[in-house]
Amino acid sequence: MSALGKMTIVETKLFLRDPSAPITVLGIPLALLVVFGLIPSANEPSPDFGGNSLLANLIAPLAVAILLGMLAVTIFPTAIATYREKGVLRRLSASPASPRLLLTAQLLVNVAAALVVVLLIVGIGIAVLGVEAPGNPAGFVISVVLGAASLFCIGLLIAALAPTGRAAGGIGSAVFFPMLALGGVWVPKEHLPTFLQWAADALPMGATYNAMRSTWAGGAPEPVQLLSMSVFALLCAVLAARLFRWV
Amino acid sequence: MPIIEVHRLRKRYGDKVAVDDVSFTVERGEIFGILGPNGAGKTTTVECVEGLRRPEGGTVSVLGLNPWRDTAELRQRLGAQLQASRLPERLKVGEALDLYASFYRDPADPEELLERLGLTEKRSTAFKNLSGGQQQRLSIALSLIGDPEVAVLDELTTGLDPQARRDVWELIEGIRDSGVTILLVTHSMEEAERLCDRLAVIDDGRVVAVDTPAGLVAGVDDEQRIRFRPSAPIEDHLLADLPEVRTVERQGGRIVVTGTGNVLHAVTSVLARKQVIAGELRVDQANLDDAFVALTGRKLD
Repeated sequence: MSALGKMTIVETKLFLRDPSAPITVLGIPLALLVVFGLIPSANEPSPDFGGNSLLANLIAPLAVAILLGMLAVTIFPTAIATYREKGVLRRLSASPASPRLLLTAQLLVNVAAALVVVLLIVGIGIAVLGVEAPGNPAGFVISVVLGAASLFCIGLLIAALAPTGRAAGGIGSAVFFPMLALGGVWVPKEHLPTFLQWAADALPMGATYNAMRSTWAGGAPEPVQLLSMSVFALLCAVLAARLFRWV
Repeated sequence: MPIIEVHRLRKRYGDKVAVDDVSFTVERGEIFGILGPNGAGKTTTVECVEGLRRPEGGTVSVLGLNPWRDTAELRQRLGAQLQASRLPERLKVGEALDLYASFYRDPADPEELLERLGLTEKRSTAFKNLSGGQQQRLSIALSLIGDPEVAVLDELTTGLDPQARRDVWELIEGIRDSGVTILLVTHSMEEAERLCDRLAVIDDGRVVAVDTPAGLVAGVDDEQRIRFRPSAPIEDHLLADLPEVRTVERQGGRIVVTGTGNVLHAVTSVLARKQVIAGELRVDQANLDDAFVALTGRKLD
């Protein structure tokens, strides 16, 4: 079997042996969904949300965006930087394995795990809380996958450079919260000051979130959102492979 | 042709000179030691050999390759056991070997390596549940999984108990006998004396001597001290007149003779002629520790 296949399988096994991180993170978006789901009017169509409900238009995409962001930008790079801190990467560096091999395997495993968790959240939302299913399922899937790719590649870049697990967690938070704010997650983008509205679609967290909102409502993702997600994914992946440090 | 050639290597970290001027060559099939106190520049030197660091000055050639230009090729043919490196805690022994085997063009058989390193029973044990000695043996196994021509082993018995150390030493001799050239970093005299065919003594970033362990000891001082309790009186001058003897002293009922060369034989011959038996005979010889003190002016540990 190829080195990439072996490495992906090994990393998957390691991931499954200690799935505590993604499970801990699962609590926050689930709580969001459930708490808002208990508000009687939250699931009623409302002219405030273009005929959608509060849950489908804001809360569910919010839960998924927060989930993806935390997994991708804080937890994922912390895990790789901890490998660096403990000398796991150092050991690998003396073998013929390349950074690209390691990063690709890590990316595959973690994005796949994140998508499973997203599926879980959306599934619970629809089945248990009666949230409407996304109106444009294909557009929604594209938005989630591309969004996850862009956010995880940002995480990959942090992972490529952070010397320790703590440092990675710190940098991750410093990236996560501003992206959340500027992405229109705390304040919907239509209520952001005009000069900040472009940022809501240009930064990957906002692009992911807003693309999920429009596809959930049956619309299509905007080109600028797709562009932002693709560019960030590609740029950060290339930079991560270039700047990667073993020690 | 030497397998490893290091010529006038130099490496700084900021203002601190880690390696000042290091040169040595390693021949095919030998165990070559790099001996020196902590902070002498041993690890930096071998990291340059492994292509993990790039020196400021000097040249390094390993198997005819330039470690930081032909890195990919070198990685295939040189196995490394590094200080302060670990594996993921939950990775199992067998998985680690399988994974690392997949990185190489022409890997060794993982099963056979497990067997050779006494890890077969531990195949399904997670890294974090291995003892220090087992982790060290796994680390050696990983350095051999690519079936390398050269293996660099850095401080491989540090922190092991005496029995585990002896086991590892036997293992290393076995690896050399299978044709792998070994570059061994150590700060243990005992280890160097036991394992190395030749060694470079490094102190403060410089090579102070390159020789066989016996050569290093002989080159320093071959004075011997012989102590014994004579079974019958014997006059001092009978011993002092021997050309090999330097001093004769009496300590209570004992005689202490110091001298060089074949002094032991000279003294025992005289005693035999006079039919005196040397009771409680003890001979102290210079060892590698003394050699190190003589070369660097201080003790190793």
